[in-house]
Amino acid sequence: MSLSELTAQKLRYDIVASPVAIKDNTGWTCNVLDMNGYDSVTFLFSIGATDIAMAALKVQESDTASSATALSTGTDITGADFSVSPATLPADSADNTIVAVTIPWRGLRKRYCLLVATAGNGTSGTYGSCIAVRTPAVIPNTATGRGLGQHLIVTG
Amino acid sequence: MLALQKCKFGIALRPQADLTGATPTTYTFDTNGCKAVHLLITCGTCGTPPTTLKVQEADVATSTALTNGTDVPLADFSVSPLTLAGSTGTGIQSLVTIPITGARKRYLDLSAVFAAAASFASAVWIGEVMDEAPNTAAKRGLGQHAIVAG
Repeated sequence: MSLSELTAQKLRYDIVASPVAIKDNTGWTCNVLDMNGYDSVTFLFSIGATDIAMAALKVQESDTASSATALSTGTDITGADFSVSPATLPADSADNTIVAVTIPWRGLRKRYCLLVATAGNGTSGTYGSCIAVRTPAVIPNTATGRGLGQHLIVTG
Repeated sequence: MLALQKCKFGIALRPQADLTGATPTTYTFDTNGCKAVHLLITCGTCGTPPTTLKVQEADVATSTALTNGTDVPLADFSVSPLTLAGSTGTGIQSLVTIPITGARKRYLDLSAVFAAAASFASAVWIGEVMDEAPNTAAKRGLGQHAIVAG
């Protein structure tokens, strides 16, 4: 087994925002991540066709989650807000791109985090979806443990 | 964190409108410099499973098509023990891991055909870079990459 296969099997993959119909002037429903047992998280937000800049794209954290899709009094994570320079909110020309934010989970980080993604008010709007790739402290030994329905590994 | 900074990313299937009965445009991936490529497929609501979901390879490609693409063995979800998942509702992820060794060809593409029922899906390529770690977001295939200080 190669190093690469091992790397893929050491990670946890979660759907943050499922692929859905186009969003215009509204937010995506995003799933809260419980970071207990994880060292870092990278959000990969994919943008399909769009005719408007996004209105918000950032990550918040909290000690408690009020539901599977909401935090209790979430606060912004410094450096994880695309509206704050040097980052910029994805523009109306960001079709077919991926934007990412990587957050080490250590120090004073709180237990739960949530992506906040809101489409701007355009003529049609924006297609988007998001996955999270996390590094677990304990390596998952099944596809399910990696958050996957199936994991196909081609022989090298 | 460092591991993902050594990767490059690409959209394989962009988020888009209901894919009912569609063969959507997919985006090829250049494996040059990669030691392995992972294709992460996310299904939102899928009324029935896709009828085709597999990875193909070729020596020549445009951004959206392979020239004379052939199936990558064992990377076809219609072949047992895998299944064409998606009929059980929202939130199914599938991952294909392909080591870029031996006789693998340079370009990969996702081949996907969706059934006649509401289907939302997207997919991303994650290429593990072997020799030189990309040092900018653009080189990683990203519009932006925010890295929070640890």
